[in-house]
Amino acid sequence: MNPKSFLGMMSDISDEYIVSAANPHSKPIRWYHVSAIAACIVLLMAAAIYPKLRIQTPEIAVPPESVAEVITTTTSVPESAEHSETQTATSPIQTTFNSVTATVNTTASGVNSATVTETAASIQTDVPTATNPAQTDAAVVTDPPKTDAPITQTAVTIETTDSPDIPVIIEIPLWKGIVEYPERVSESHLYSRFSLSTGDMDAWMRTLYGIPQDYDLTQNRCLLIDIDTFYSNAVIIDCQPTPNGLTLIVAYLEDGTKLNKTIHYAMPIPDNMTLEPDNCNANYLEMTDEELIQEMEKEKLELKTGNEQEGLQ
Amino acid sequence: MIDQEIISLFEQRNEQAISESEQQYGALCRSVARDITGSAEDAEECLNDAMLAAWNAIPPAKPKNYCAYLLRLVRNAAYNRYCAAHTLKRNAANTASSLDELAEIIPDRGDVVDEVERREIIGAINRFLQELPIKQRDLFVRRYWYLTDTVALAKMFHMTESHVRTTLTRLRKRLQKYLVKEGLL
Repeated sequence: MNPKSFLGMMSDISDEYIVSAANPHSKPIRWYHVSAIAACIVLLMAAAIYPKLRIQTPEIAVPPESVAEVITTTTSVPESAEHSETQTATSPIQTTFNSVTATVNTTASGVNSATVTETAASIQTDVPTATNPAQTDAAVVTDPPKTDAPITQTAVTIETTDSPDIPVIIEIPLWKGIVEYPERVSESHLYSRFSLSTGDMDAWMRTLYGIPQDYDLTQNRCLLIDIDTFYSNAVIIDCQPTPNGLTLIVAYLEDGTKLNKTIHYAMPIPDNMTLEPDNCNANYLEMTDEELIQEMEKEKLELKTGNEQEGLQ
Repeated sequence: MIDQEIISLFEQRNEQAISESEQQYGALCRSVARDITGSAEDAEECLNDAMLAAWNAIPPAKPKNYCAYLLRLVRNAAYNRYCAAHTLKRNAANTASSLDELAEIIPDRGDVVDEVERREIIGAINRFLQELPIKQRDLFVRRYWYLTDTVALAKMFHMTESHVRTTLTRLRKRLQKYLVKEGLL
């Protein structure tokens, strides 16, 4: 057998195949078929996904509710104590910040101890009278406070007490602005400059000091901090109160960038504080680990003060 | 006119059978002959030869499928004409390329195939075609029975030419395996 004879034998294949091949019924793939199939797939996918999307509601940013919990605890009441003696704690703390958490520890001259933890911008809490020497727990939930302060602010936590021994802790946001690289800086190795914001600071100045654009500078003031560094890097890691001022703790590290820098910070001043730039200074802490110094950088500072902070009302 | 009526005309020795056949299947027969011989003139002569063969064969022959019968007559005439022309160094590209493709799977042993072996091979081819999907079967028959070139096949089957060639290559290899399995190669 050879190809020619095979081709000759092909003549005798079944009539069915010959007739079938005479008019092949091969239809081309129509583009509208493809489009229709694609549309069906999309519809099926949409039908599958839609119910899931429907039950997923977007997260709505709920303004923080102000909750004031009043816990009155009476402990170790001496039998000789007069039960008619009452204790009322009122915390008239006012601030422009959005959220305020105040913890008031009240020692009622050895008779009653009341701990008041409150979160409110404006707080006025009356601790119910503890007339019974037995242990009493009470919780009071008040309506959320109304405030005009921008939501970009972080919380200020104030711990206060009637006792001068318990410190007041104020958390103040620390905004870091732009790091400039001027040709010349102060010849000092590190130098910090302080000033107060004004109500007419423009957008560029706000950006320079990292002040949120919606922060109302006409109503609130900021302490502006410029740290000039000479071939080194520096971050603010802590602060300590001084009369009408602050002492910043600045960690610094000699770096190899050989660039002069001016680092801009801003810190909002709560209403109940008085900060004078002249009363502000900085202490410098030399570090050796660059990663550590970056980790130490804070977005808010805790100001622990007793009654020595004269500005605190 | 349906096939049975044409066959009846043949049986009545009515010459209208020739004209009716040509009207019904003339174009198809010409295209088959033209694909094999590669010439329109040869195709016309092949068609005339096929008509004459049908006139002489019917009766007593009574084909069940007149279309296939006539096409087979045309193909045989065209193929014989091709072989004669090929001997004279004339060439028809379609047939030659089909033979070249078949040479890949069917070695030229030079032996003579007797009638028994011929029937076995035809039966194996029919069984092989029966196992194929319709589209592949039509493609195979179109290529190796009608000897249609791949460009025309691509257009006819709405495929690319390369796809046609690839499919035919696979079918040939499949046929080779089948014939080897049947002990015919």
